[in-house]
Amino acid sequence: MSEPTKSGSIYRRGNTAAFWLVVITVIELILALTFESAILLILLSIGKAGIILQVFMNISRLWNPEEHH
Amino acid sequence: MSAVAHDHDHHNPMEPTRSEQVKMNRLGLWVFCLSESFLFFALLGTRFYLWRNPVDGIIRPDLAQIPAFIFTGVLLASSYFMNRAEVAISKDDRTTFNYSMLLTAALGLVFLFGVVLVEWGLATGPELLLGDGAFGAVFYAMTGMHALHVIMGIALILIVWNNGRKGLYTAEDHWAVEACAIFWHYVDLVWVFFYPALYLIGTAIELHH
Amino acid sequence: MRTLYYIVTSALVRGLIGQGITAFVVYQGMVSLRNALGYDTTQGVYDEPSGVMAALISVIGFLLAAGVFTDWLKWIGGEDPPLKHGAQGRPEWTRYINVDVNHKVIGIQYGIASMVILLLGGLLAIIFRLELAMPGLQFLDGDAYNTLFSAHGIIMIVSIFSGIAAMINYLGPVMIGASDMSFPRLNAFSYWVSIPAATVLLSALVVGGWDTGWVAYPTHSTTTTMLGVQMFLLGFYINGFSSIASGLNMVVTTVYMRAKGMSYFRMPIFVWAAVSASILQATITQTVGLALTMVVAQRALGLEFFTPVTDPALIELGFPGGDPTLYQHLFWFYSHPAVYVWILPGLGVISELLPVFTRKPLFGYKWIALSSVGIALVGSIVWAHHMFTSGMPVTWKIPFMISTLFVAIPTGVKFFSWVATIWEGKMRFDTPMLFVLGAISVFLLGGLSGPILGTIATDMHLHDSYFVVGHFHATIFGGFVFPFFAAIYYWWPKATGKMYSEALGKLHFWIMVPGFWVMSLTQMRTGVLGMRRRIADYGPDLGIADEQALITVATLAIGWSILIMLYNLIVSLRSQEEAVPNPWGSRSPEFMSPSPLPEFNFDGPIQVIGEPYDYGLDDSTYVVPASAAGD
Ligand SMILES: [Cu+2]
Repeated sequence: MSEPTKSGSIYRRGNTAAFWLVVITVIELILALTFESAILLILLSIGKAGIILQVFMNISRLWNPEEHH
Repeated sequence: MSAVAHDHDHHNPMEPTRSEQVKMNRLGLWVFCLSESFLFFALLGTRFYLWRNPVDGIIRPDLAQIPAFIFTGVLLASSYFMNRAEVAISKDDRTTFNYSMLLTAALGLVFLFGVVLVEWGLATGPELLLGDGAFGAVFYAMTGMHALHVIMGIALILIVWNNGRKGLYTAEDHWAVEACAIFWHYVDLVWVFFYPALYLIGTAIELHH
Repeated sequence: MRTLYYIVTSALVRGLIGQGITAFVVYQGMVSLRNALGYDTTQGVYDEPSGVMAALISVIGFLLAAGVFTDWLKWIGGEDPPLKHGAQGRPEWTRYINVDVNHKVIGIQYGIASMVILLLGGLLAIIFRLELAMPGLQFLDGDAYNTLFSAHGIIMIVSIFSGIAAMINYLGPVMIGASDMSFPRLNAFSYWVSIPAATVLLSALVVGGWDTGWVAYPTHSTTTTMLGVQMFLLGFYINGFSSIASGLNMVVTTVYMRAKGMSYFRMPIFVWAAVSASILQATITQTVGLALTMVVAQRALGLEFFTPVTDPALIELGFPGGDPTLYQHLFWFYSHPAVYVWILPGLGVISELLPVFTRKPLFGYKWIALSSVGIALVGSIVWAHHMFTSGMPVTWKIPFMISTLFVAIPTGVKFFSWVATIWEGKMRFDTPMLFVLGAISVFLLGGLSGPILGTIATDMHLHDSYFVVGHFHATIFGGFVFPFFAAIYYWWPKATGKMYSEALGKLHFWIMVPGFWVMSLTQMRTGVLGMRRRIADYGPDLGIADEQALITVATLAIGWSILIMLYNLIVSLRSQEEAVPNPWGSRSPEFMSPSPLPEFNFDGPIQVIGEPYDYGLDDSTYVVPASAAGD
């Protein structure tokens, strides 16, 4: 619950998450075209899902409703 | 006669407070997402159950990679702006909120048209025909069911954007924005699994015949 | 005159008119459109893709006309309408035919729907039982017989869903000390969406009937020319919205609306059962929805999920084909646990009522609470025991056999607890208690015949025989029907403030329970002797003609006994006498309040200060008004 700081810094968490999501997606595509490893691809998807659940969807608010951003 | 005692005082002595109601709403939405996950897992299960053959094991239709990759990126970008909108409203930054919501909806629309026009168009063109065994059936079922959720998500975003413009949400109380965000990210989450399942995993089978 | 006005302007009638008009308009529009596009729309009783579209949109027509969406549409426009309580200036009885958000009203609405649908499904059963009473075809042909037994199956399932929703809605919130569900509007939606679903389902009977049974396996369901099948699939599918929404609602209600001091292990045991059933309902319903959608899509759009590839050129290229067993997996992933959705609330009622009528604490509260969760979990990983004869690899069969047999453990926990609770109790044999005991006896019959079917070797012989029919009816009567009737008798004075005739209640019991035993055991016997299920006829040389006649007689007895119950209940409503406030000496929160319950259940918050089932123990209290608890 901080006061509005410099616009930009409050969005940092989302920026970082988006960056890693893009990186993993590129790795996925390269992996698919070279290795054809289903297991690795599924693991990478789970990693991406974890980032989305935690950072974007704020799943922890379910058990920590007070913690806001 | 009635099974509820007639009562002129229509005031609930145990009415949930706003913050209690928001907590319940949040859990309700998550249970809904859990429920939907059973649908999407069943679709994924269908994909892995059917897209096999005795020679190659797990297979996939040889679909164009680049457009699918771009549209995946577009959906991801929309998710990013959705998050930006939610953070913005929680800091009372209305300008960022307004344009981020619109951008989210716009990118969502690009994704929708990408899947329905470009991907389906590419697929139905000379190659994957509706009814070509299990390739067509599963491809259209998965992308179609996902697209249906994209449409619902875009509608939700536009409604919330519109109500936000009217000033209905505050930094402290913006459950509608949060709900819209959770749903939209959920739609993205589903695509995180659908994209590799449809385009990346398995031996590619040539479609020209 | 006034009454007629209230009926004609009720949500129910408005909804039905709205649904009819929407269906007609959409159907005509679709047919003209398809004609213009050059499709042939004259095949069959109706044009299939147009009919599907009309049925789906007609549900929205119903809900809009009935006013179920009104508040949500206002939200979209940015308003925040308050919840409407009470009859809105109309007579109290109109609440039951209008959109009402009170959980008790919705519970009663479900209860009435359940009984009406039960009578309809029972009537269909009696018609085909009369046909089966003698060898040879007397008055039904094959198509009519197929439609009747298929409709009996799915109509009874809808009735059961309404029945458990009646119990969960009416009892759930008040038992945990809440004023209502977490989402009262969604609760109303759950009820009201099941009405257009039922109309779509019943329309299957008039647009050609269908012959797939309630399971609708492809490839038969994807190729049958009896077009009622589409309406059956869609009605089944739309009913799923009701299941998912009400399951979700009850889960959230239980998590957040419990009274102060009511930890999870101090909830009434029925709530544990209800919440386990609700978690299942909210999740697994999706997979059957997908399976049904796939059949609809294969029929209407030509997506081939279930047709193997036969074109040698495509096989050469390595193209994958469809597979009919995919449907069976998706279908049973839902439909096996769905049986637990139907019986868990009933088993909860048994555990709830036994301590009251034996005046003893419930034996092993924690175990019985967790056994409900256990049944829900284990029950979710057993589905392929329905597919032992489908050609599934043996490496899949064995794990499913083992997991199936594991279901006996949590179910056994419940039986031991019931027996131990009865042990040395001071039993009172009022009608609800009789039905509880009847339920236990019948559920035992269903339970003991289960492992025989869950074991691969014996199932090979008994699969799709009347043994399955006998087993299934025993589990459902023991786990749902008898406990539901026990619940109706038990909470009737609570819900209505009137008492039924104990003599007629006992008469109902003494006809129905023996009647059921005869029916179920005889069905199992004919199955072992070679009678197949879903068959309109059998040869006299099978040697089961007497048994078949006996089953029919038993079915008629059950039918009459249910009419006695309805007569008993309806007559009691007209009686002038008020029921005793707590006729059974229950400790449960709902008996703290007057009968019938007030709009918000309690005058103010209540608080739990003791164990729920300390019956027969001196000065132990379960709940008190929070104002009196002092803290
Ligand atoms: Cu089963």
